Amino acid sequence: MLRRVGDWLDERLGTRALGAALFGRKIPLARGWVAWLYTLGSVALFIFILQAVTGMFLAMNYSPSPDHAYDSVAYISRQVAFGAFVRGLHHWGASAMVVVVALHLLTVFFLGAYKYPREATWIVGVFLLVLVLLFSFTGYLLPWNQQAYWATVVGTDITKEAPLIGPALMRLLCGASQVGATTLTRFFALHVLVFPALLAALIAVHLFMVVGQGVSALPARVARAELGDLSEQRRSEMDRYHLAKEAGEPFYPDTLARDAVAVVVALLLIGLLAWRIPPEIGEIANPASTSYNPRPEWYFLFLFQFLKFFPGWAEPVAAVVLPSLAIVVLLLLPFFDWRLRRHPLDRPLATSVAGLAVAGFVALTIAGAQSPRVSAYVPEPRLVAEGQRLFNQHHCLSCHSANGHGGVIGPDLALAARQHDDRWLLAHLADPQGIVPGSPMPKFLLLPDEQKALVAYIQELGGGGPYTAEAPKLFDRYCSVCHRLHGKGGALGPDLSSIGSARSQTFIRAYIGDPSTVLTGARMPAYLVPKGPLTNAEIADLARYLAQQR
Amino acid sequence: MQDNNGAHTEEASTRRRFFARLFWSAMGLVGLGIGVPVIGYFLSPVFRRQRKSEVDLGEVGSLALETPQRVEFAIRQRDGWITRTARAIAWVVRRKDQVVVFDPHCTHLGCPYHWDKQSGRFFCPCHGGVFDVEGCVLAGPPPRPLDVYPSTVRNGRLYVTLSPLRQTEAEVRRCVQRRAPQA
Repeated sequence: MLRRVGDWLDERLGTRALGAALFGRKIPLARGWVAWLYTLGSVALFIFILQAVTGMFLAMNYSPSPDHAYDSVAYISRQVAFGAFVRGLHHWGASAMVVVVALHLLTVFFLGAYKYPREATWIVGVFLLVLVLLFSFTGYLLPWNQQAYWATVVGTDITKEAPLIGPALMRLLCGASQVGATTLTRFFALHVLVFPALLAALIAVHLFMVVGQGVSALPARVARAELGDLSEQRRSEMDRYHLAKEAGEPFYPDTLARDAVAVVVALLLIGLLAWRIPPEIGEIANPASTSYNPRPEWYFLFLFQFLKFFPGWAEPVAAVVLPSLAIVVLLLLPFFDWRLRRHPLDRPLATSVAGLAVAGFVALTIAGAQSPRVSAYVPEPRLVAEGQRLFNQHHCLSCHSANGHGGVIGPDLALAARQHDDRWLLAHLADPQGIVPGSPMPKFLLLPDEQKALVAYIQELGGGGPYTAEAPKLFDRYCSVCHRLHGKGGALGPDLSSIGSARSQTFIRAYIGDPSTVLTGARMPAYLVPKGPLTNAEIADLARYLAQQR
Repeated sequence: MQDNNGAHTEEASTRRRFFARLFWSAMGLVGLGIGVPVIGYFLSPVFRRQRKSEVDLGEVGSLALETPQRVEFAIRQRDGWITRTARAIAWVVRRKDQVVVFDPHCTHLGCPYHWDKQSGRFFCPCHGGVFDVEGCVLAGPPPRPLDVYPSTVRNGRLYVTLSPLRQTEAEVRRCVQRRAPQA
């Protein structure tokens, strides 16, 4: 039956001949570990398919609007079956894509495979690399969390410094004078419509060239004396290639089997990462934040670190001119490095320059990852953060006050939190008049999980609940040597008399536990066991006590 | 054209040239017809200008003297198709005779800097920019002093316009002079 369908198709479309040309073609042999480097192109193609498929399904639950983007991503990660895993595949797939494409480029470079007759394939490949980087830049914004927002603020600000057209370019990218709703829709459209179309077209051209010219053979050592003029070099290179191809293996099944193994390994690695390290949801983008430490995705850390070495006036050079120049050099490489000596040992200069570039990239990335976090930042627990959003959405401060701000109709919520426990607050939110007859507070019809979140935030406003009588004693014993509280104590550290109006209980707790995790170069020692003398419960108690000092 | 007659061939090639021209001009027309509106659509944000109105930051008297204060306030903001009340911040330094309001973004690449009470400096968390209380650059890559929001004090209240301005030449020169003795 299958055979007859095949015959039918072949008669009309010539599919058998096409199949033989594609899958039966000979591939020059590459033995040992180098053969595995030849699989990188196939792995990149596989990751493109993985990204396309996972992306399509992510888009089914994603909403590209600042009002909903964060929540829709959180929904994917928390509520949709396999959502966290599919998002993880897409997230780690993006990193894997950058790694694989970079390794593919390096392989082609070191093996001199970009030379005659494959210059055009190389040029298309460089455009593919640029497109991959644009994919990651636009995709990074979509979750609309703090990481995404601030990385994009910096990324788009870079373009603002470009000579002459800078400000116009930035408005073009953002769709407005700053990162906002139109930036998100622009990036979304580029990420899911424009770039995939371009990438698919360029991949088709790239593959057409690869099939047309054949996969390059391993380079042979060629002595300088053996090199003739250009046409002689080309003739002998082609002669060598035809011999190698004759003696090669069939693409199917030999080469494809190796590719398939590499693809399975890649999928296992990406799947393992997606399963064990699911991508963060983080905190929702907050343009009013002053304590966040913006960092780009790891493969842009080198650029982040690189920018530190340039004084502000030279920043366009580092951020725009040099990267563009690097791309131009890659594009033109086959034209100024045209001699057909392909073996890496025959090209010591090219090989060592590329080696240095890789080493520089690695060193800058490591330095970038270790760069100090000078803003003390501790993310609030999820429930508290959600409660805070509800708190703002429902304009609680129109009637209530907290820490000296807000309305005067209702009671101060920081005080209320100290007077009542969770049960009372929950019951009161659900039915204010039922608990306090005659209360002017309206019923808010919040869902049970929303009520819980709001109470968690109100508790945080109040300092995280009651502390024990031990807490002040702990303070006297461990903290007062350096810190002053209401006129008593040392002066080495800051006065903590009103710390509660500046820092939350969550922050204080994390800070006492180990300040170095919050702030690089903090002078205070860690207090949590095993680094310090206090247990988790003691530190929590102490944090509640301090958070209530206002 | 397969004819041996030269005139025929001539005619055929003129026809062919005409068709080639027709084809390319038709394609050009189609390209322009789609391209102009689409590119105009895409480029339009470059030419759109947003008017910023004044915001009330509250009583000046309540701000501490000489120490930068992080003032959080609400603004009614239009962001694409969304109009919402958003929270925004500014760093305000009140001195005896004047009030300076700093745009809360580092002049290097727009990161959210903060005031460190202990060292009395502004620190940017990204590329290591450091500013003093006047907004002058003390270290790192920022190309100019902190940008300021134009502000006025009326009836004891502080009003600012949220369009950042570079500090004046005189201010910048003062920053440079102040740095010179250290260098």
